[in-house]
Amino acid sequence: MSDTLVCEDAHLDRAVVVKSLKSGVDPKRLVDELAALSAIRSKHVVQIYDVIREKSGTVIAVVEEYLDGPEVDGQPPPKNAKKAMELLYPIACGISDIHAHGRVHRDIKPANMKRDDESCLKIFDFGLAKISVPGGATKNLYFSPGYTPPEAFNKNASGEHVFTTALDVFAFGATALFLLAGKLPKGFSDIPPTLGGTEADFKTLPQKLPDPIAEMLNACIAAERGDRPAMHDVKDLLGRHLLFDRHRANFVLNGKESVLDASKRSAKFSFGTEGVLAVSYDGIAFRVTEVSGAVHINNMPVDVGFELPGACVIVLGVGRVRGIITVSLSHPEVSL
Amino acid sequence: MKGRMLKNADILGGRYEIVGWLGEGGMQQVYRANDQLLSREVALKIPKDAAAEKRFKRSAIVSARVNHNNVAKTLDYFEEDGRPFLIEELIEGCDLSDITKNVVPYLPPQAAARVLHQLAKGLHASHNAGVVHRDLKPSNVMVVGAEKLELIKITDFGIAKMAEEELAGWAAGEDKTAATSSKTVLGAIPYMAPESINSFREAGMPADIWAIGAIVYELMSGKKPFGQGLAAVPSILSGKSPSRPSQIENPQFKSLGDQLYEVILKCLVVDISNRPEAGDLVAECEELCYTRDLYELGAVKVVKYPQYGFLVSDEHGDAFYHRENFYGDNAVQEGSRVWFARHEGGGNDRAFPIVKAK
Repeated sequence: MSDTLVCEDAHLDRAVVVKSLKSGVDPKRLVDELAALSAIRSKHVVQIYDVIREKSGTVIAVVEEYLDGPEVDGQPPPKNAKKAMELLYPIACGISDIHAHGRVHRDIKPANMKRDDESCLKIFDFGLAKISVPGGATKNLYFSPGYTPPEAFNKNASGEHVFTTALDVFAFGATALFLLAGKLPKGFSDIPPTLGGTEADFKTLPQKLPDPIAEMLNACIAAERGDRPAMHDVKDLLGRHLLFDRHRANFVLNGKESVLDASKRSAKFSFGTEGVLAVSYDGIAFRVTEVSGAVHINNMPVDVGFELPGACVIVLGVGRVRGIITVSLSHPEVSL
Repeated sequence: MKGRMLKNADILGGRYEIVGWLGEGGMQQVYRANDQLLSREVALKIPKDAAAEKRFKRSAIVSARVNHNNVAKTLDYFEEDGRPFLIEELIEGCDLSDITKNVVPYLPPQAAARVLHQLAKGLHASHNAGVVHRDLKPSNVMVVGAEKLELIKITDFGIAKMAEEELAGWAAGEDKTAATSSKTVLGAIPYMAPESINSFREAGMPADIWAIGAIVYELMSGKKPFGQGLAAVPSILSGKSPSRPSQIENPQFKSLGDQLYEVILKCLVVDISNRPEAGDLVAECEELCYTRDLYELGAVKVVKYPQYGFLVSDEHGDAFYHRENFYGDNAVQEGSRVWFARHEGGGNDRAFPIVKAK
């Protein structure tokens, strides 16, 4: 990407950003990529509206949503765990939405995020320059030092740098470390990066993140891409912790209702002596804490520790007369 | 009625090739088009007459301000040979009125609450952007995946601008129950807030809240809250609440049904200062224990015992049913059409909730 202009869309009466594209990228792949990106409907990803083509058909510029809020880079680190998770959650959402559309951003870093006039964080600047050119002999790797995982420096059998979603997950982890610690460990900028050490451990940060969150973030910056979690799981875990104690579950057994939430955390259900089940809410999830006799959740036997899915049917007992519990959970959403 | 104004293979704006017909509303025709520049399919909308044409651009500008997953995205607007065209995100599915007309007479609260939550979220984003719909009704609510009920998207923001002359003209009339031949007016009335009936032009965001309350009441009960057409006008103005849907008496649906009914009644309060705002409504919906199931159509395969048997779905395998798990009418026999959510597991899947389909 090179020149950037803020323009007025005279048809739809809105401010837009027009970014001219560097040449050298295969036009067909670029258009495919832009078409896919324009389909992403995410609150936390800048919307790509359109492309501009020359008469020859070559795409020369991208038209996207204009953001007029503050930068994310250069802000003081969040003061506590809640503020830290509130900062990371929208970033995780945006990347997760991109991955859900089968795309890789390729250039996640603090400088590629900004807020709009309602303070909503949005990710922009897809690493379009990193789209490799099929058939080309040598491929140049454009990369952002510190935010690029070790595997990005390797080439595959046909000499290409391969970008998977795990690249974005690493970049997210490095971004999180930078935003929370105020700096990245020096080794991160080596080629390839030198990882590990206490500076790169989220458990040592002053925000004192909950252990499962710190462990998940540590896994994001794992050297092996197979050890990194899926972005969807990172988003989900952050969301659950931001919604701590705000969930409810509703159980109906033989016409009788029980509600579990932060004010009433556990319940025990039984149908005669044939099946007994106890469930408890730990602020994050509803889990089985006791089971005896014949108990099936969605027709599968369960063990202690089993987490109830968003909707399920629990059957107590066997044979023709059974206790049937229908379960549904509330869907609070993180609003920032 | 006007015939189709465009035909397949027509190219508009130098890039949009007409590839199919999607339908028409009171104000516009909608086509399926292929955006050759970005190789994607889109919906192309064109106003039906000159009166609507004047307001079309305004409508496009207004809807383009909203960017939310529960609102159909406006992608482009252009004029060619003096005619305006609007390009919108293509939604593979149907509208909400098709669901109650062709699939099921009513939705269980588990599904209706999810629809309300999504409508509220879409409205919240729109109202935050200063955009009011003013003509919300089931035919302006798109359902991705049709009977699967995957996702709800509000469409045609700003269409009330196009229909304004017609609606405002009627609302300015002395006798609101006098006969009108306007399909636009008759279609809008059942979801119209009292303040819109009194002065359409002045109605604002609270009228949208009323409308989604009326829409979700109809979904849950199978009945319009205040009746059909002009006959609804006195009931809407009266301040009387619509009755509690009888289907929610079933203990399987009672708790959520009662809560949802309460939320709906809050939307249907005559005094706009006592109606929730979209953000309040989103927060209320977050407290509801509903499910995010995908639904499917099928038929009763075997009635094994009076209380239970097996269903066979049109696309997937069999599922066990219990008569208690029907919402509303449960008088089914072998061959009866049903619509249900499936809970997978070992052995047979289990169906819950189930509705006798049309």
